[in-house]
Amino acid sequence: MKENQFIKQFLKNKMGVVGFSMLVIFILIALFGPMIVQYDPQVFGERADVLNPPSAAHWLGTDDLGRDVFKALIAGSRVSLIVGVAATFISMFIGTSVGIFSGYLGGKTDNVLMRITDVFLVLPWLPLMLVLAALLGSNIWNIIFVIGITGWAGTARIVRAQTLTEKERQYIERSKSFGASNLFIIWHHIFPNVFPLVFANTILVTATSILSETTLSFLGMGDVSKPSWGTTLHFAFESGALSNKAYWYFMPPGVCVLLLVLAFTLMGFALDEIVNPKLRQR
Amino acid sequence: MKKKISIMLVTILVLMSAMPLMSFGAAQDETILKIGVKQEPDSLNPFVSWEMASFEIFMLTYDSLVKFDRNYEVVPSLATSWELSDDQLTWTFHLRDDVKWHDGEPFTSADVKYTYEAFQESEMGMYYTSLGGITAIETPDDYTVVISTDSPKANMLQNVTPILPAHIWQDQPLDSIADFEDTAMVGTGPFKFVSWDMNQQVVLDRNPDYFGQPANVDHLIYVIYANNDTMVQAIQNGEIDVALELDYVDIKSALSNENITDYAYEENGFTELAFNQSEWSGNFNQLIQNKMIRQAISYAIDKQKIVDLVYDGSSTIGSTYIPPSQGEWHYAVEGDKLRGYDPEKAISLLESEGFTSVDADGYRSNDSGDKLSFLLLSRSDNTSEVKVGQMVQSYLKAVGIELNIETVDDGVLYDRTMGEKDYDMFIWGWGGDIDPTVLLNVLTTDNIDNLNDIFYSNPEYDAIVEAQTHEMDRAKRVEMVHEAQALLYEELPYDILYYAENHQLVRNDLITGLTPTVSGAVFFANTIVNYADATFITEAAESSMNSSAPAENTADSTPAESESESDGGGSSGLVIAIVVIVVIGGGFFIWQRNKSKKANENQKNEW
Repeated sequence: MKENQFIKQFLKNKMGVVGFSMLVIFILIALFGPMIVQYDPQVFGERADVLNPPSAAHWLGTDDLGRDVFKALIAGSRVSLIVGVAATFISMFIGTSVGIFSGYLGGKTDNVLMRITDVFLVLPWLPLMLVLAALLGSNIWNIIFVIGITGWAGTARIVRAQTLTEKERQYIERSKSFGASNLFIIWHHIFPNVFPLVFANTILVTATSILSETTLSFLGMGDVSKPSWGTTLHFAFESGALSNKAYWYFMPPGVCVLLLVLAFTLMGFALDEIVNPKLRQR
Repeated sequence: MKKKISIMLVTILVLMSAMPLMSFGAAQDETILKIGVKQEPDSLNPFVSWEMASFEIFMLTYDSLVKFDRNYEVVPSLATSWELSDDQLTWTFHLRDDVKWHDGEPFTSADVKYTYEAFQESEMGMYYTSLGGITAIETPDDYTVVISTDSPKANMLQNVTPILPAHIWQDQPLDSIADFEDTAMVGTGPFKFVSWDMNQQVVLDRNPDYFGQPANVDHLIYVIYANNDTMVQAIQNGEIDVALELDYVDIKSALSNENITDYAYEENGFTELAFNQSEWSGNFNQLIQNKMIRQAISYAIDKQKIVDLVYDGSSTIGSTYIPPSQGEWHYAVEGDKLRGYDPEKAISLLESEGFTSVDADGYRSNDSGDKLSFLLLSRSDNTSEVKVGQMVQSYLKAVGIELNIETVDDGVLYDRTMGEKDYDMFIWGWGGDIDPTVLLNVLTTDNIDNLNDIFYSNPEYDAIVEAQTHEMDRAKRVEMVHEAQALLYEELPYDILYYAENHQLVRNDLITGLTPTVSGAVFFANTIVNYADATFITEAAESSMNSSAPAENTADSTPAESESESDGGGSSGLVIAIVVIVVIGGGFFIWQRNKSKKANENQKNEW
């Protein structure tokens, strides 16, 4: 598919455009927000500043340590996005490699790799993530690793299926007869051809990764020195914001997570429709 | 396929909703006192356990020779009277002759002898330290115990070691006693142990044959809550009658409820910033063992602001080791010896220790390149302590000390402090007894590998703590306890951050008869008087109000179901949760497989 054709297809898809514009806004906030709005989670307010409702000074009120919720929200966007995207890269790297090698090499390799994938598919991911996070300790790199390592199995399955169709194509046969090595074929022929699918899948997995990060942080496994939206939700819940009806504390991060995940999901579906011939509308 | 899963899910959901009602569903005229707690017992083996929740259960299921009343005066329990010889070295206890163990066996002096000797020989658990100095235990007859000590033992009557049934425990070899589980928990106390469902509840039944004042309530359930907010909601909705271990910030929303009485008290204990004092293993930053750096850390922290923000000003800032709630035992530091919030003093201390070079992030190091960078462990299930950790981090940053925080759960924290020792500081707390010895003993060399969680060892301190247990003149003993605290305050193995104010909420429309102890607490107060006195207001009112919640549940499920549930016991909630996840995961797997199969078939068709 040619590039401008792809863009044309994408622009025709309203869902995708809405998702994409939402995502652009979030990325802009995450990139430039923290430069404009200075937020230091280590600067606390006074006793009178604790859990104040929204005002001119604090647009979204203050939290349980007298800090500005709006600024925390801006700072948290960066953490949530970075963790989500970085974890997705790990997932995609493992999932794509396993999928391609499994599909291309076939035989015993395929069997072993797919059984491992099955194990990861049926493993209850939330308890697994919780156990891993508790074992490794709650710093941001461990969180990324934990989410990445638990989220690749679906991708591996999809990529393997696509690889299976690709490898039967004639030009692969031809390459082989010219003496191309397996790695050469995988890198130059298989990978570029499964890439659109991987790309669409990446977007969807990112949505899951962001949700996973929020879940882990909400359950108190997050990195408290780099507060994400999930961490904010955790502290809001634990400090009784719900029973004190401090809606300004728990609503904004919740809504932001929802919108960000929605943005990725909409885009993911749109891309899936374009790159997946079975779903494409003619 | 899909349908099957959904039916299974529905069944599981129904079962789950029936979970909270125990076998009592059938007997609704019986009274159940439901107490919400945050802490799970760590173990129900008195040789192993050291948490407050377990201590409370031991007080209810077992008895000690003497106990405390509401005013913390020593009153008879298993012993009716006692004498001290003129040389102050021999104690004679006369025991009750009408006490039966929960299994019907008679209680005799042999049980006392077995228990004390077993604790002494195993050198384990929280009770071991209160038996120090005892050299011999003789039993001239079934109801007399003669205890000899090598020197006078000042805290003999403050020793509340639970007496265990020798006929059950004595066959256990002492070196593996930690692994022994007396699943029936046979004791002599006013309550009998029924069950402990991990993360859910501990159930006790009234012992009608109790030799003292039997309880008014028929059953006692500790409902374990992971979240303060949920517990406060639960008492407001009448799901529990009492809620314990709450901070002021948690209960604010409940204070306007006229059916809830709030008992506030300053806890007999403290929350400390503990510093790793163990032998250097390469796993931590040895700079933390420099006393001047620890003092600088102490100066750098604004404890008042921590108390203001985290506890809404409702706790007392910390200073010395024995909390002010222990009255005259508390040592009040005066004058310029008191370390207030003084970041400049902290910086000058660090600079005089050679930490003069400051890097781009503002963190200090000395000429040999040792950086002031430490790792703090904090308990993930205690949000207040996590917040305190964040504040400490920011105060230390201000004076050039880097602090990394890891939040871990209690079990991991215990393993890392007692095992790997790969940390520099942690935040945790201790609760004390009525006698200061148990708290003082925590940091003695003798308690390394038992209670001493930072491996602190100071012969001078050991000597004072030992000496005060032999001092029978109270005024002199108070003096020595103060001396021990002054030493700890200077050496700073623990920086006492605050003495928390705690709150206990009681539904005053359901429960009556409770009177706070001198400490201000009703439950978890070193005495069980309020468990005996707690009474439901009237049978009629009780059954209409208190059992309304379980009654609704019963309607949804048949008695057979609820019975099988209670028999299941254990951690059935977790099991069911895992089953649900496995079912969903399995369903997803099968669906996924079908899908890929179909995809494969499609491909085949294409070819």
